[in-house]
Amino acid sequence: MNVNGLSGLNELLNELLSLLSMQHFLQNQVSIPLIQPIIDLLLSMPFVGYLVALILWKPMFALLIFPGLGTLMAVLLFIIWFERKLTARIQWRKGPVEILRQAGGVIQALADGMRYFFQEVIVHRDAHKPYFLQFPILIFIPVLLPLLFIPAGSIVGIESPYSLAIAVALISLIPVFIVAIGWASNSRYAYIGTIREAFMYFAYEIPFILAVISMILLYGTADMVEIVEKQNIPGIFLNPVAAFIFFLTTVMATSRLPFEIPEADQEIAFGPFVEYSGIMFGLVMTITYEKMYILALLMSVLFLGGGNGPDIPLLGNLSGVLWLFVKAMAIMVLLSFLRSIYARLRLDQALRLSWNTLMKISLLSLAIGIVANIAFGLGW
Amino acid sequence: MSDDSVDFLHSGPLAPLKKWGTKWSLWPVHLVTACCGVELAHAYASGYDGERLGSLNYGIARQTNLIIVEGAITRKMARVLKITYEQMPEPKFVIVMGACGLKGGLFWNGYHMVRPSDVVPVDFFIPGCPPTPEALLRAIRSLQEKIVSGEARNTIEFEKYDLSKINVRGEQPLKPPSPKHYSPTPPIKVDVPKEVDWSFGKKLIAELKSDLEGLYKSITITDKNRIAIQAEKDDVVALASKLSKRFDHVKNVNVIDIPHEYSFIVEYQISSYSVKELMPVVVNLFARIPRNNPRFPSLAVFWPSADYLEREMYDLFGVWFEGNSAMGERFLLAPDTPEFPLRKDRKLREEIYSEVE
Amino acid sequence: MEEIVLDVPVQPPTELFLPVPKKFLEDAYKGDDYLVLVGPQHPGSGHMRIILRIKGDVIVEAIPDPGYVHRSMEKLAETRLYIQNIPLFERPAIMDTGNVTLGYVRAMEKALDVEVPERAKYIRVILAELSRIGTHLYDAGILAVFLGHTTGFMWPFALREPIVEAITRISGARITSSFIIPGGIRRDVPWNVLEFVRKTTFVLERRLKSFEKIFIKNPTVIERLKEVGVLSREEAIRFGLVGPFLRASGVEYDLRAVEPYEVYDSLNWEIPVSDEGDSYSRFLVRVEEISQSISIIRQAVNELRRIPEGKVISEDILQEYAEVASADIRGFFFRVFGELTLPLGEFTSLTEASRGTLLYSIISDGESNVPYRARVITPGWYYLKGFMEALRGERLADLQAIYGSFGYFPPEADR
Repeated sequence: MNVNGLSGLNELLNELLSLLSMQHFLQNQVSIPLIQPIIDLLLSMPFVGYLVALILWKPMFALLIFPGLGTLMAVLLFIIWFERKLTARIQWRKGPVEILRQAGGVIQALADGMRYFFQEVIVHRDAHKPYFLQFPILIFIPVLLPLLFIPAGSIVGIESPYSLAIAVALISLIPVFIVAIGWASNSRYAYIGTIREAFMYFAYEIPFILAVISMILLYGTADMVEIVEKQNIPGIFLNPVAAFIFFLTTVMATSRLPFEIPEADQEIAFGPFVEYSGIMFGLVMTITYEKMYILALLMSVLFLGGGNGPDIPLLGNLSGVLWLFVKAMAIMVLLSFLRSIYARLRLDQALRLSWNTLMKISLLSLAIGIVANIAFGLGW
Repeated sequence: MSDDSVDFLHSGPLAPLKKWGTKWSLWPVHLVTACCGVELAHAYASGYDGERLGSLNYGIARQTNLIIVEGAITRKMARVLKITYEQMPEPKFVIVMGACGLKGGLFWNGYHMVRPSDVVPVDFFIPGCPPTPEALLRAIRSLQEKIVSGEARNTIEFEKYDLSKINVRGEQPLKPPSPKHYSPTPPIKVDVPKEVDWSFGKKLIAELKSDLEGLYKSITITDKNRIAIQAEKDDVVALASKLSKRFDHVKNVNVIDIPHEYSFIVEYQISSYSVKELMPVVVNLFARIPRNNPRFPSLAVFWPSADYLEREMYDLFGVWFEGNSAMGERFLLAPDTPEFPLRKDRKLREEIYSEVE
Repeated sequence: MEEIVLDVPVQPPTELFLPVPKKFLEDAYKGDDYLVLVGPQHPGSGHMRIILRIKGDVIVEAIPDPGYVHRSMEKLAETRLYIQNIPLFERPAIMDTGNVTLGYVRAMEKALDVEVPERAKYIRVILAELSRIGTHLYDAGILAVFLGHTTGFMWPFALREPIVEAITRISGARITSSFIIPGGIRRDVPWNVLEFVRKTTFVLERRLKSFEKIFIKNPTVIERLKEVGVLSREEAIRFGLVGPFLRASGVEYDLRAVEPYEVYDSLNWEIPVSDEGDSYSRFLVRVEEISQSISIIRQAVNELRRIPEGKVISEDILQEYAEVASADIRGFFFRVFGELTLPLGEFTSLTEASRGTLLYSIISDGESNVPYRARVITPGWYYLKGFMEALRGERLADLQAIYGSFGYFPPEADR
């Protein structure tokens, strides 16, 4: 018993060590022919090699580089600047430029972030101090986790037959955190904004999930890797109704105009986020952009064929990454564009729209999903 | 935060990063205080585009770091300015636009005015009434320089002109007469009759006279389309109930203080929207009331449009409109303003003009 | 008579000052009503506070708290010369400079009984209509930003630039021109400037078409404004609405037609009237007024072609300076106006400013060179009551839509 137990522990340790060994990482590595010589050089170094192998290990690459943390941060900085710039161009002006004239002021969002970072964080007297400070940080859990399930070509953080369902479930958690933030703020406008957020959450969530289910029915699987593989024809052509609903609910979920209702700065002064200052506001302000990024990725996986695209041999595995990134960015640009052309709807109008019209259309999309599955023989 | 960590941020190794971020991210809070807001809006709109400098007009105090005081600050607004300033996180800056914010400008001796520099610490003043958007953007530029270098400097050096030579037409401009001529016990009459060619008015007056028999003291035509009806205070309600059938809204509620005659004149100027012929006619219904007991029946029951005007008159003169439910409350004025400021015995500082050295 | 000096120091704020009786607060908290204080530091309100009592999402009662920009104009006017009050009374609504100064100057001209030279009348009309377009564009921009439509804010402000430029070329100041004086205007306007003004109207007309596409006909904007804050014809009259807001409720009342002043009766223009009385029609009426103003400006410039340059100030005012100063008052200003005294009596002028009726009532004692009492009522102060009544029964989010549709501008209302 004793001996058996020890040997069992030994086996476990050996297995763990082999999991952490460089060879294990090298088996499942991102290959980039373009910079392969450099990677080889780095790998031959004693300590750096291990780190490089770890980073290029596909699950770690998905977590840290794409679609994970690194790209998320870069996209945040870029899209906030880009949105301001695009809005400015539509509005006959230039937008932020003086900060870096040569590049059109592209680091503007970085400067804003720096300012937030060094500004005083005020926790007002009536706030629930622990929650007020914890929730903006905790919200990164439901923001970052779904990214691990999204396949970028052959790079995917966690493979699972239920990856789509898990990702959607995690995304659905984000509004819960926003409601908690509003509750912890304990202010009139935060209260109204929180209620609006809760109303909107229920309104868009059902059509959103129905649209996702119709795509699951269409592809006959909830594994995103398989979904991408099955899309010889992009999903948007197979089920345009679901794509439309997905896009519209994305607009609602990310509080873009015309559904910028929970935050409505002219009406309720940023709703749940009204009391945040300094770096805490920097964190909560980016929530919607982060959500926008995830939903754009999800949409390109479901409807635009994910990492599918003409293969670029020089980029190797990064080819899929590039295509997914381009598709997601296109969707985000489209979402940014809405800001400058629409006014904000009222809460009751938005609710009527989603509970009435969207609900009916999403049932239609379910039917289309089933029909398309049979017609194209995608199988279960 | 302890003092050490503040010092660390101000002068530690991260200080350049902090200064850089603050410099390019000066977000003015949405605190519109007076008319200079027109030019502020221009400075941030398409024509001048303040966003080029990284400055973005943003919602509320907690998320911003700059207050642009747009001109005049009143006693009531001074509180708001102070509260807003206190709400903002450090580091924070204040730019004051306009002559009113500098030394009071046009309203320097007004009873409701406050200098912003008495309320909050000010980084930059912008002269002008109102300053141009260019001037505002220049101030933001200067503030950016101040953030990096740590010291504010005057960016405008005014050229000195010889005022005697400024007039191109050869004559030196005369200064306004000073002191002004005030009559100590002037006669005040609001129904000075005037001969005008207005046949409809004569007909209307005849109708009014037969209608209001016994209630009025006199009916006069003071100008074309202007009629004045003098009445006793006690008859006013009866008069108003008859007049309200013809005239449907109030154009003006006015009080004139005549301290040397120990009385107030209370005027209601009424007119009509419903009858086309009566539209241009303004009837001035007025009565004298004693100055030591200024009570007047509220006519807001007949004309709801008089409600706020009566409240304003109570605020400024202390005439108690009996029947208006909001009497005794401040409406326009801040709680610490001296009461009834428009009475003649409330004195403002005099304006005196002298030759410029 | 004991004299009280008004110049007392301000107390620092110790508590939030609310103009509501305590009983109201207690009542609201006893029931399930919720109090929301909007302003004065709020992204969706100007320099005023509105206290809303809401039940669910519906506004039960709205109480205004004005006076944040009360700059004591009526008192100050009693200490200044008649002529010095022109810039003072211009300050309530500086973007509406033409109309605001015109109103005060007309009250004085009424008292003095002077006839203004024809050329000056036309230039006054041009200035007034330019201000009207500018103010309507300003209000459209504010309405847009209140609805969250930033492009709808930026474009009208971009369109205001040529108007500001035109006013600058006429008067020399961007916003505060103080160009209209008793008896005429400060100086004659050369032909090339008038031609620039005429060309500006074409630019405006073309650009307004693109504004119409993105904002006026935008489905979300229509959705937000239609059937919101409705005031029927009877209500509008009862609460004493003025100007475009009265006309949006179906009352054809425009002082330019009711009691014509300057040259409005000789020009061709229409009064836009709507019957709906909702926020959208309040907005549309003003949009239509912009095109009417454009047409008035063009007609006025055309009329000015036939009137010779050189005489823009009345001889009754100038008297012995008539020869030197009739085209340009510079250098003779206080010689002419320094000792200006109005005859005894009350003189009331009604002017159609951009946002509606503007009333000046000057009470003169016939002896002093300052007014005994000057009463100003600006359009904003008139329609504040109607604005508050329109809020009743609407949703909380509609506050901004109604606020914007009235173009409520507190510096104008508070004076």
